[in-house]
Amino acid sequence: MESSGDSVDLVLVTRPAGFGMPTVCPACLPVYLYLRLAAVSFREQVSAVEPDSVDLPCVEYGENVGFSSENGGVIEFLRKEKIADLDADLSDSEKAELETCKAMMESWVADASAFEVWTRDNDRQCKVVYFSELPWGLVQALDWKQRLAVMQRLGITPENTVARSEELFRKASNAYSALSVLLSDRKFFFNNRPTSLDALVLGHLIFHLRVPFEISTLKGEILKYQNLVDYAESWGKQLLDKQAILANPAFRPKAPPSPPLRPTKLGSNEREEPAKKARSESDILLKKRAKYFLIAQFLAVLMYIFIAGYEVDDEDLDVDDD
Amino acid sequence: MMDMVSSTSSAWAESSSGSADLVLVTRPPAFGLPTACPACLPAYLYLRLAGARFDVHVTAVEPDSEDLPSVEYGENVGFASENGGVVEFLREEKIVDLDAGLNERERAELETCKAMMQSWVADASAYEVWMRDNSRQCKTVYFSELPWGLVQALDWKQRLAVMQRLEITPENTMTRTEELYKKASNAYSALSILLSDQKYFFNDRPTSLDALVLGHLLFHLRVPLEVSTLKEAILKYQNLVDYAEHWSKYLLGEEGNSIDSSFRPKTPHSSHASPPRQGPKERDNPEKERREKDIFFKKRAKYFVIAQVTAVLMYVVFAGYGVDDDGEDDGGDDDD
Repeated sequence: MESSGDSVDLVLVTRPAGFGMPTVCPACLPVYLYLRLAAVSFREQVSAVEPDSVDLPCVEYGENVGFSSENGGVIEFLRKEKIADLDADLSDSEKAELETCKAMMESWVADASAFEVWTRDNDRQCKVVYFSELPWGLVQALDWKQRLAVMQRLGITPENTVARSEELFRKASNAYSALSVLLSDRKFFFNNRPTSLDALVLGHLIFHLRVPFEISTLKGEILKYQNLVDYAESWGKQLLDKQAILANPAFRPKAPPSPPLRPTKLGSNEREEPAKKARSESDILLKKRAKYFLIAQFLAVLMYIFIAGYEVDDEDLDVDDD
Repeated sequence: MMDMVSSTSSAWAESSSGSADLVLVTRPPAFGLPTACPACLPAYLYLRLAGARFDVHVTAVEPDSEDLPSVEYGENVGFASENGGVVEFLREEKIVDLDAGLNERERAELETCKAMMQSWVADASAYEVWMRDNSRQCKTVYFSELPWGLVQALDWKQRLAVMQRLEITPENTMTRTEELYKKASNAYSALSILLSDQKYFFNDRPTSLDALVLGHLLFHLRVPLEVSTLKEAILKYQNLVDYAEHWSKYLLGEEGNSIDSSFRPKTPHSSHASPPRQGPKERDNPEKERREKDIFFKKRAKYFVIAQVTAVLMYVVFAGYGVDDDGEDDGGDDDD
């Protein structure tokens, strides 16, 4: 940071690392790759206390924060703040093609991916992705809640699981076929330079190729398209692997387990910003921890009432009226 | 009406050389469209674009069914809910395949556009159709021939299901709908560019994408929804409007329904279907009609049972209130 002329940091907040990737979350990984493809220097911050949040990944740029849940997500935020815009040079018709591909990634591919990640058979890997630093009881509760929500969103019931999952995988397969044709033997999807589509596709491919799911139907499908595999492997090495990262001093991942952060080595004009930011980070962290603590307490109370209630009923029935 | 039914099928059978009728089963017509259902209209347009000869069979008793539209070809039936829907069925049965002439790259582009239509555009469309403000038009599309009580119940149930699927809650309605409309708008922008001033999306011949897009555009341009944000978004792209208007004249006709004699919608209202005027070649028809009758009966039975159960439940709830009051009277406490 000292070497850059800007006094503002770009911080990417993601879920934790795992399986050899700087972040193993399928929503965070594309954003990470986008910043790497754009060669923007940024700090990475890991947050493990927002397992069910739709706000992750998010990006902090000075005072502003862009959440993934806001319109257009982090990539749109980066464009609006003029930090990075990989799609700027596309022609009108290339932009139109990009939109259609993006829609396909966000629907057909994302749905099949969510199904696979949240399939009960894969819950061990799923917990590593989403709940890696939480206490056991909370993990069980949140895992159950999240799985229910995902299956509901995908319209999957115990009765229609087979038919629905067939449909999901078929659409993903059609998507891979289309992507393979559109990429052909090129380095990027459009015009010899990286775009947001490359980040999206690479994020998905690398995730499914690297995370060792018990049941990995999507990986099996991806392996049918050699050009997609080569594309993912080549960029995976360049953008994710340790050697590349260490060579770039701008990138140093750090995990904030406790408040407050006070980087003492910064110059005087930067002392305000890190302290303010650290305070707001610790606030958010505390609020989140408090929220989950309360949920756990509430659940415990409910369980007590429920179980205690059973005993009371039995006693009442024993009373005889003469 | 029975005469019309039998005369239609006999006229059709005599003039075609094949022995199998192609029948498209759709929801009822309205608003000048041969079918007002946004899922059925693209299937109808697909067959018209392909120049296929087919009968339209209107069914009003499957308002919440995902099986519509469906296509009957001889003994085989293709449902919208099955993999790939009606278009895929038509391709597998080798009846019609508008996408056959595309090269690999065009096919890939078609897939991406189809995904966009089925996600971004379809979601915004479903939201708009099922918004409370538009419930009057929505009922015309989906529940036009059902008794009032059933309409209310099914309408409520269906709306809940749609909003749940779209993940819309009372708290997030504003942000979520903004997001839905923005994606639809991006989709229209992309479609407008991809179509540019061509007659079709690909290569000077119609494909399944034209049917999909035209179905959506015509639906939103023609159905007079109270709140029609999508229509306004569509109107910003003159080439999309011209495309829709041009094809609507050609595919739907000025009156909206009858263009050539092969198309005459028929509604199976009465339960006895033994058309006396059929010739020897058409003995299959009674079997088909019996099957139709069966399906029809089952559906009516299902809704009758739902209505009965609802009535019983309501009685139980209200009768129950009376009993509780009696029970709360203390029979006198003994103080010891």
